[in-house]
Amino acid sequence: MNEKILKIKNLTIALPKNADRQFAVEDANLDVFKGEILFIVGESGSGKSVMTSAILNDIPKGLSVTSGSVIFNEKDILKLSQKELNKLRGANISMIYQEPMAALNPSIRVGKQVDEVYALHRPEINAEDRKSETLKLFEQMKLPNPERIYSSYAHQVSGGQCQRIVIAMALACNPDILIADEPTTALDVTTQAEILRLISDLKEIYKNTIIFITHDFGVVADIADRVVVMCQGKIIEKGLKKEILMKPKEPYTKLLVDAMPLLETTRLPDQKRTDSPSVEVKSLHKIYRTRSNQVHAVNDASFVLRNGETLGVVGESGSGKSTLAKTLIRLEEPTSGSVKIRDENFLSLSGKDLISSRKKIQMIFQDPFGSLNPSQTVGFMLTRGLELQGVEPDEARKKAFELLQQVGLGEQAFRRKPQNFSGGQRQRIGIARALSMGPDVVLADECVSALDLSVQKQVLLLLNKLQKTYNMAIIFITHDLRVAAQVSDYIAVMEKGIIVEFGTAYNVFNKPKHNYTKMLLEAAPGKDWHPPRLDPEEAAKIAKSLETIN
Amino acid sequence: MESIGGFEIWLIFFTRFIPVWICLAIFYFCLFYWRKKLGLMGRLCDSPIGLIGLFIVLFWIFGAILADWVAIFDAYEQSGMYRRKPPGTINEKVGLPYIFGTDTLGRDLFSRMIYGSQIVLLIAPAATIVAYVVGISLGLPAGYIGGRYDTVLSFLANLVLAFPVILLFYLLVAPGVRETILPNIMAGIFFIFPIIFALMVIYSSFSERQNVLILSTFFILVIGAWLYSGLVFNADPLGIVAIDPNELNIFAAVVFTTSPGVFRIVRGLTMDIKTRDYVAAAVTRGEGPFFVMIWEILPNARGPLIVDSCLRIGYVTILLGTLGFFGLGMEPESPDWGSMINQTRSYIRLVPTIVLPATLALASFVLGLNLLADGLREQSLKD
Repeated sequence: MNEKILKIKNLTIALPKNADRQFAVEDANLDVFKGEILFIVGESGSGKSVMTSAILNDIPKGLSVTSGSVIFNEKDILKLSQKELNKLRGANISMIYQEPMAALNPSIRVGKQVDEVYALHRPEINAEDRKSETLKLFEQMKLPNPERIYSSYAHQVSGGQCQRIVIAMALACNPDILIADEPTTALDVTTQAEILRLISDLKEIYKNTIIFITHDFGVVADIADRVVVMCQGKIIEKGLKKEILMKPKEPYTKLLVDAMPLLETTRLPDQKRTDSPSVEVKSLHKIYRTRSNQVHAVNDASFVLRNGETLGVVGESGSGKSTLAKTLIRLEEPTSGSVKIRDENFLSLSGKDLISSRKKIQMIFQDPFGSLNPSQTVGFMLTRGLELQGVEPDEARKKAFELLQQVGLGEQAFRRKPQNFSGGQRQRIGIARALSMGPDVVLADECVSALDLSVQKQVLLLLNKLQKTYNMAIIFITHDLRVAAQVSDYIAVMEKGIIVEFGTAYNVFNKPKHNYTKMLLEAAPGKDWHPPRLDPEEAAKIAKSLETIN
Repeated sequence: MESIGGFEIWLIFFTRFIPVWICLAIFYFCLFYWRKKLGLMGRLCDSPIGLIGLFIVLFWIFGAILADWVAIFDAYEQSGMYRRKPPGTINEKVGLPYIFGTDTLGRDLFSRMIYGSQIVLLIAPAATIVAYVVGISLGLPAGYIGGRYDTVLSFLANLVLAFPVILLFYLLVAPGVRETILPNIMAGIFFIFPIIFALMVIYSSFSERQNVLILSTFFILVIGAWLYSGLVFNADPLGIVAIDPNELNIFAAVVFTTSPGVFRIVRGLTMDIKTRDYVAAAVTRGEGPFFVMIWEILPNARGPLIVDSCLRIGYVTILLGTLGFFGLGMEPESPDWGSMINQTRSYIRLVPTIVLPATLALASFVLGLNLLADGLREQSLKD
């Protein structure tokens, strides 16, 4: 375990001139040991992907190495010729990408694509044997029915199977080092758990070294040996998994670990309330029909939610949780069922009545970059809704300023356009926009899943605070059980359009009844890890000291 | 017969254009001075290709505006003594040179090229703008609402696009057709769209303020009716707005063949943009469909539309050239570039340079527009 296989020495990579900082990677020193699973962790823009791209000498255009070396087999990879590089890539070092669908050529059968790797790097295998080698590999990847998969195209297999095929391609020549750039981020939790298990099983067989890039500490907890934490292009801290996850030394790492939501909840809603519910959904159905088949996207959804309460809707992609949100807010018309908001039947409204009742239910969207109109000012977004309801412009302005203050953006944000704000700030604007209407119910559709961990924590805290101020009911849709555990009073677990389990968050997390819920909890990355908590005051102190450094 | 050499020809060419160079210099100075404040136009300064394209386009625009200072002779003045003369021949009577030579009736090719640009540069952008208004007014609802409305309109658009353009022109602009009421009907249909579009904008902006809405609707209808009566029926009660029946006919034909393309682009962009979350946010706060189309979708489609409009003015310029070449719609004497090419093409063997002025003018203007579009596309992608 002590043999060094790869050495990164004083690596500095410069960003283009007009970028927000000078270096993508700054003076990075890193030794990779043979046979280990090394994790590189960091938030978006920390330089983790750029640093690993240097290992394959495949640095993105516009960036340039200003100093340093990457030593592999006693040679500096950054100084190799194109021919030597081609030999190295695939045979000695190979790569798994984030989007399995995009990594496969959609117009060539997937089996042929794996054959191609053999043809390129192991010419000693003749054409007839290539197929059997590929099939053997597919079997190792635990792909069902390898023969059928071999002659399928990428779009005919599932996302998880796609990623298995990409891993097969990467392993075809038994490389010394396997680089995995967020290989499970685009997958569902249960699929992610399987792929992670596969990767650690395969390591036992192939004995190769794995460099794994991720932003998710849960994955780190599951399979890492050693961890490197990056921030702003610099390596902040490195150490064994245990040290980093349980006793981080550097303040930045401490904060990052502290921002990881716990997979447990202490919130206990008052289940005996009898006041009139904010929203009451009864046997809601949504069926998409096409000529050849139909999809029951929401199947008999019913629940009741009162003001100040939060319902977390969890499930994997395709479980119908987003469709549930869209039908609740009537972006799509439900097939049947009823939705009562403050005792008014929202589904039977039409025309002017619908428009004036829309203010009662508002939505916070997932993508902070797509949910704000780039050609409007923030002020317009926040006042337009009120003015539509007949509020005087001056009053709407005052309300908008108040909201901007409440979501932690200054009044100067009023005149600016969305492109001047970061992802977290945009999400705050999105929240302010939803609240400007004074809704009874707020739908939050994966509203923190595009954000970095530390920003996510702040946004969740903000949402919590605003819920106390405005006392609205929140329906929080998420694929992340940890996030759901932090915000929810009740949890609805959805599978294939059906709410398979509904109960208080405490019961669902501690005494899950349905098998699917148990499976989801089992698959949650890092479920056995209890991240150490900082004292909130200490956390604030550290955050402040980091800010002054930056 | 006296003549001047190549160097002097180009010297006179450059000196004739001095007013244009001055305008260009002022324009470019302003562009660079205020580049930070000009948005997309200001960012064009970073694109050499776009600047070259803009230069060529502005050269022709200023040339057309300042034609009376640039041109040496009158566009229609004939001279029996100087027929089909090569470039550089001097008219001894007035002592002025025909720097690009003369055509078969002894008219100065250089001056005709300059005056011809007035016709081209007036009709092409105006027809493109009207085609855009038609395309946007029909394409936005087709993309946003979809359904049967979209099916019918898309079918009609495809029908027009599938028809050979030349054949359409022969059908729509032929001399026999001009005497019928058909051009007026077509113009009547197309010119109603700017009014509809203006009403859509007004309605979507002021739908919650009744007073402003009624006042501005009234205002638009009065102005619209006035322009409409002048342009379509040539019966402006004030006698200010008037259009030549020939030009109206060409105008209607060009709009008819161009607007389906615009319709399809706008429809496609709308279908893409309507899936964005900010559109959903507008719907959930209770906006009507007109507001969503005009204020949420259209401003975010402007990048591709500006680029396309540049290219499309180029296509329309070529269309006008085609019309002139076939002698459709234009007066027989007209100095527009298409007609000029047609009038001179039989004499290429006698005077090889005789077709060059109009041809190069047409080609350079279209090239300039294409380069400008490339530059704009490059810069608009940087957002």
